[in-house]
Amino acid sequence: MNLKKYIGAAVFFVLISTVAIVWSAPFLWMITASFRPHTFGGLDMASLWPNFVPTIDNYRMAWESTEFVLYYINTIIIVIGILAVQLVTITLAAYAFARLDFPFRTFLFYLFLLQLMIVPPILIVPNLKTMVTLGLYDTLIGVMAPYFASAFGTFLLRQTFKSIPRDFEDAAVIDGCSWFQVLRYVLIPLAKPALIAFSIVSVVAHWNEYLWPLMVTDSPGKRTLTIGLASFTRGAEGASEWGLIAAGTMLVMLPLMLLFFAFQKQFINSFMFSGIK
Amino acid sequence: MASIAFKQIYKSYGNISVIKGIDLEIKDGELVVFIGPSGCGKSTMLRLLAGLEEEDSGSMYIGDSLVNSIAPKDRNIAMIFQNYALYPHMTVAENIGFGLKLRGMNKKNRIRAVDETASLLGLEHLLTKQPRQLSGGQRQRVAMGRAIIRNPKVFLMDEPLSNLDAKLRNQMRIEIKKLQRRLKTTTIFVTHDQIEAMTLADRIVVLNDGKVQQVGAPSKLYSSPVNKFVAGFLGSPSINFIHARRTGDNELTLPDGQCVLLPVDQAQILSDLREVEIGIRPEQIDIVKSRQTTMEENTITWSSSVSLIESLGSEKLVYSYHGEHEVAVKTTNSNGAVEGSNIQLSFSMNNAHLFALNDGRCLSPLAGIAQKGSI
Amino acid sequence: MRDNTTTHGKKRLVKSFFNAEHIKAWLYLSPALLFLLLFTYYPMVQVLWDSFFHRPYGADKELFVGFDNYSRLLNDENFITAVKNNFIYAIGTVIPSIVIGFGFALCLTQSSRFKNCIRSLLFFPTLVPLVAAAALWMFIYFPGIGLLDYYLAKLGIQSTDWLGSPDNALYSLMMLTIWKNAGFYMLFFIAGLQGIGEEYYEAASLEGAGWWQKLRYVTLPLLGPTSAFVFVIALIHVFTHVDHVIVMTLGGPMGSTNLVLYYIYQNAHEFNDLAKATTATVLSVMVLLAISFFSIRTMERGIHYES
Repeated sequence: MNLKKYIGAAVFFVLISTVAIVWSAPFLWMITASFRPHTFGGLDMASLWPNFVPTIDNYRMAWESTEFVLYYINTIIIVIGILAVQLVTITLAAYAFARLDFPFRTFLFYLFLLQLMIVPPILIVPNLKTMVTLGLYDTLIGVMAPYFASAFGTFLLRQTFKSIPRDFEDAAVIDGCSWFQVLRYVLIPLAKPALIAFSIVSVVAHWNEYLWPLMVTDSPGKRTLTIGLASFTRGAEGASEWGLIAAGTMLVMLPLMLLFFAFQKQFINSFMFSGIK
Repeated sequence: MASIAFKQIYKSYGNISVIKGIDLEIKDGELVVFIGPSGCGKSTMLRLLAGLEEEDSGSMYIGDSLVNSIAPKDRNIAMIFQNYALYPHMTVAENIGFGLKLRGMNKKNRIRAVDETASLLGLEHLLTKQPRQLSGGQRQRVAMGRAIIRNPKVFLMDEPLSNLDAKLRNQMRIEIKKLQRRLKTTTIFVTHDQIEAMTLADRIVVLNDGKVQQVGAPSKLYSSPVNKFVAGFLGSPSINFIHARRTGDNELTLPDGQCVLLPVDQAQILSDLREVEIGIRPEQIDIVKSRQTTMEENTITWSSSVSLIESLGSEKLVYSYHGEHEVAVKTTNSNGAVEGSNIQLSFSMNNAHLFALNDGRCLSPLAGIAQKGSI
Repeated sequence: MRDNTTTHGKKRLVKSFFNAEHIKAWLYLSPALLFLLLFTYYPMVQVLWDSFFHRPYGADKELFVGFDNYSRLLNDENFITAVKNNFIYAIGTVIPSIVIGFGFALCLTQSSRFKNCIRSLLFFPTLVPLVAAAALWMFIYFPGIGLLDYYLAKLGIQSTDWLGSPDNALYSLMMLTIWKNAGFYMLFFIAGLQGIGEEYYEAASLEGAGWWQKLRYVTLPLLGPTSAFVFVIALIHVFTHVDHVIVMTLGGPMGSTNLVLYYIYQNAHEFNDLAKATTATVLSVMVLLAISFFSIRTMERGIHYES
């Protein structure tokens, strides 16, 4: 019986490890290939085994061949800009939905939730038109604006606020808090896990976003990392520069990758949390 | 320090009216307990005075100032909540000092004030702890600390002991009473527990259905309830009610056919009522030796079988029946009654209260005076 | 007394019109509402309106054309192909990624250092930009020397034209999507599985249920709401992500990987046929609305079931 259990555990271990390795193969390849010397023969390009002296030539070339610095800056501005505005809009809206009583509350709530389904990417054509009208075409604000309101964030935070007993707010009011101080000293600290979860999900989503920035920007100075990577890839693919593509991809992924492996538990919990309705 | 006055307070939520015209005055330094069943409006009254809810009409005074339109933080009150509402993300010291911080007191003075309050309540060693690390009694003390540190004019306590176990509840009750005696701060204490009300209060306010039923010292409310509700609400076990029909000017007939003659002054109050209820406290009924037949003029005697006996140690609760009514008796001398045995019970009408069957008001002369006095 | 109550009632009525709480609520909602109005509600109406107008080539203003755009769209072979492709793509990615995600979750629900590590590895593709994943998978699919062919060759399997052949290309994209999303769905299932109380399994054990019976009669029914949620997320994903199409195939070869959103993008961005792009958007919005209507009902049922 004990032996049977032991063998079962071993089989499970081997199987699940194999699956995980196969699943990670694209990344293993990416890492190997990105450090592979440029002169290395093309036929063994796919080998996952690092049978060479690693070099950072690919990274250097990738870094020099496109405006990665600019793309990084643009992407960071977009991600932080979206998040900053979102945190304000979702906190206020979630507070209203969780704590205040007003006509059409349920109806409005459903109206908000509509954005969970009719997500901005599906509305690229009319939104593009709106951006042109508003004079926001080819601006970073134009990239950000459709995401300034978040049904998901509002919903998540509303649930969180609703789970906080009202007594805390009453106590704070009697202690002398203004409405803003109640939010600042009581509700926001208590909703921190939800706010962090939302922030992580939002940052990841907008760091990775491609189609909308591609549509709404035109000049090279407004491009984001993903757009840069896509055009870079197109160029390098023609020349079969796979090591270069691997290095470029790595550069785009690196910040989130490092954050993920540093705060694994936080990331996993955030994405898990995002599904608990 | 301040007196409190409620004048013609009304409050409703949507179509449900919860407070239906309350007038009440509380003296400076008094500890008043609001008691009533859930939904009677007792917590709403507190929240109205605190400014957490807005009254529909009426006025409220703390001291001489009308507070209706004053923001909660400027009413100079402190409140203790049922679940304490200690901010979970702050330490004990931060919790206690939060109100002072908001009022802009500098850090040095704040720390001194927190230390003083903590030593008053025996919390010195807990100041750096988080609320979740504390026991129920400690949390209760922190909540008190948060309330007293600002030296408010009024304490509002919303069932502050109901989350504690029985033993701790008694202990904290005594502490609250001692603290209140010492600080002499006007206090309103809301509870549904009549023992808390009886032991703590200078005066009790019994509320039901959004109205004040009776106000008075605990012993007075117990001995002279103005209506059936107050009589039934205070006292454990509850007062016993026995239905009676009027069969003559001063004659009542009980369901078992027994007649009793009322003294003339009591009979007058009956006026033209046809049906009444006799209320008799469990400790006012005696279990007498069977075959005891000496019957006084206005004594009611009957026999019944014992359905249950509960022992409280020194006293016993003996349950039996009078007709269809279950009757509880609290006695130190059960005269050998055992479950299933037949006993003889008796009480004197001098100790009984008479209530009108239609509206429940008390008909006894003493209670009548009390009623005029308080409403 | 009666008079008193009526004036009292009047006062309340007046109050509700100028209710401070209502005003506050609208104030707090207004920033979010403004952006939703501008970029969600207004565009939905706008596309519907625009779908009845068309500016013919060279004309200087738009003309009302009734359902002309719709008939042009439905007669566009490319659109029909895109719809068909999207249908296959939906079925071929949603179901496998959910099944695989659920399988992963079953293996990895209990936390341990090892399992958490595996979880992270399986989840990681979700965090990667679809563009980056597409760049990597381009090499994986590269004929002959790519990762897939290189290792398949070691098993004696001949080289395949994964992306270049109209028969394979859509399925190749589907594999990428499944790889990218299964780990995401796994997380939801893990959360769902962790929410099922141990006592259900204990009760089932006492009644003599085996592993399969526990899965069939305890786990699956109790995961109903989670599954419905994941299903809807997966469906939305299918209609709103085409980055990999743009990077890897540009809808080709021969339209075999054209998806509806890519079709919209292409008509708006390259062909300048805004009328078609707009009309296709209207149809997509309608499909998503239908899904939301259906899913709100399922979710409500799910919630009902839970309680």
